Amino acid sequence: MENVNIRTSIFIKKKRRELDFDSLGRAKLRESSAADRMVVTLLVSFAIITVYTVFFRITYKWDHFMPEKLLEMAKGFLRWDTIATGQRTDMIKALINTFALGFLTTVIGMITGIFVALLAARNLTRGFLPHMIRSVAAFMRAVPTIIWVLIFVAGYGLSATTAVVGMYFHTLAFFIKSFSESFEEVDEATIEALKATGANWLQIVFGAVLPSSATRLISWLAIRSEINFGVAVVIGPAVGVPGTIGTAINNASRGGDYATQGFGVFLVFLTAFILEVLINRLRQRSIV
Amino acid sequence: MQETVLQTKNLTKTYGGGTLALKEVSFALKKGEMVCVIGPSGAGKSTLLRCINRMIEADEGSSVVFDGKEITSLRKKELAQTRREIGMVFQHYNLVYRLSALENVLHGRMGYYSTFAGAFSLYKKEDIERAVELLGMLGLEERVYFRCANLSGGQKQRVGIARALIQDPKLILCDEPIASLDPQAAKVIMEYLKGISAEMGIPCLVNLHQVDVAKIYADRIIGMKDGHIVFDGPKEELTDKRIENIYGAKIHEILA
Repeated sequence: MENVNIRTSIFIKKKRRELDFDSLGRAKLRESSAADRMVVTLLVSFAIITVYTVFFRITYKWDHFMPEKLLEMAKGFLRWDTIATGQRTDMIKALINTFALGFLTTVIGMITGIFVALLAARNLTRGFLPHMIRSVAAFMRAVPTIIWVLIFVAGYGLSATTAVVGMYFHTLAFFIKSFSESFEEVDEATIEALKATGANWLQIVFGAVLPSSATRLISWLAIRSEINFGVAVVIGPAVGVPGTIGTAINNASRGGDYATQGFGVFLVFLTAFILEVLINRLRQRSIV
Repeated sequence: MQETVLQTKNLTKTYGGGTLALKEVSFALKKGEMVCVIGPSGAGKSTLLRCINRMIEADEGSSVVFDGKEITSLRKKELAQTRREIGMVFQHYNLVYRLSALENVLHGRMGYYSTFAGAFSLYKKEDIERAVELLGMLGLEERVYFRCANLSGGQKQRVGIARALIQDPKLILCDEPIASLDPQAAKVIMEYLKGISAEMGIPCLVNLHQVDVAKIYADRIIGMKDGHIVFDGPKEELTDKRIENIYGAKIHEILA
């Protein structure tokens, strides 16, 4: 330490550098990057597309909107006292069915998804496998859930099986992508530390990767649970799965039964709300 | 003469793109020795450490003999078995922060278990007792069940050391163990490492940025520059002239 002598001044005194200016004559703060140009291009394209669709493509029938019709619906919507008791319990049963449908798909998707995602994470699996799995998953995700369900109607007919199998494909692809990315965010150094102790692949996965990414996995699971409940609701009327809340609302709607319709929507809302609250609690608690 | 635990010969590493990180590095490490490796960033200190337990593969023709075994020619399974006998301590501790101090220490034992038992943390009672004992020896008996995220830097590093010790290693490699610690915690860690080599007889190879720290604790100092060993000798022989050679700068330009 006795060797250290502090220089009186290390700062270099030189002529000030001239400022650079951009094409609009403002003092430049940074080099323009590809990302900047991308943002501008995106905003301009959105503006053009909006103007085009609103003014040139949509021919909206303004007189079709009848306020008195809306008022009539609103009045009937909350008259749940007019619904028969049996009808009401049927609706609740349908809600439970729908929830089970979404839940089942999420659980099966998650369990299988974790294993495939381990093989799709580039920090855990070397070689071509991650790339291949990601490509397949990207294709599976690109096809909307409804289309998957419609595809399986051909084989399984109009049933709950069709809905689960169809929803499963999209769910699996979702988990492969989200889980494998969560795994890739695990600090490479932690994996290195376990490797250095002589642990093998599965031990590293269970010892370091899963515990470190647990929070993120739970978040993704929660998000997908919400999505799958929503999908299970709309999938009913779309492919005619009997005994789901969506089908019940659809039937009520076609029969002009505003009250039953309103009650069904309320049940869906309530479930989604409870789900949201529970998930938020869970996430807050699981954060490191 | 003490027995030699580690002997490298012509250890060379070329990274993709032709960067030569290590060039014909040869040195030996004896039982109970504490050797500090100093040198500027990019001199190859980290690469040297990682070539020893093959976290990085050295070039053809390199030789690393550890405990009588040629490490460079080991197959995957033998390599994992050999890694169990080499502890490693890191600058950023590299713990699993969601897990407890005890769980992190037991990770050091993982390599001795079957895949299934290791994966599901089915540790033997004597290993758990040993882990608690080690944490106690390092002054963490009150922190056994703490999540590692809630420990201070110095405490995290002590967990890292306990994880290395429970491996029953014949060698401990330390990559900048005190670079992220405050001076007081750094001193504690260096004293533990010194104790491990002197009292337990486990040789420690420690990468350091601080020349003054190396001069206090090392039995021997290795100076590296551009992938070469430019100094290897007892700390008394590390003169200002030689430090200038290692860092390629005048002594008054170095905070050492």
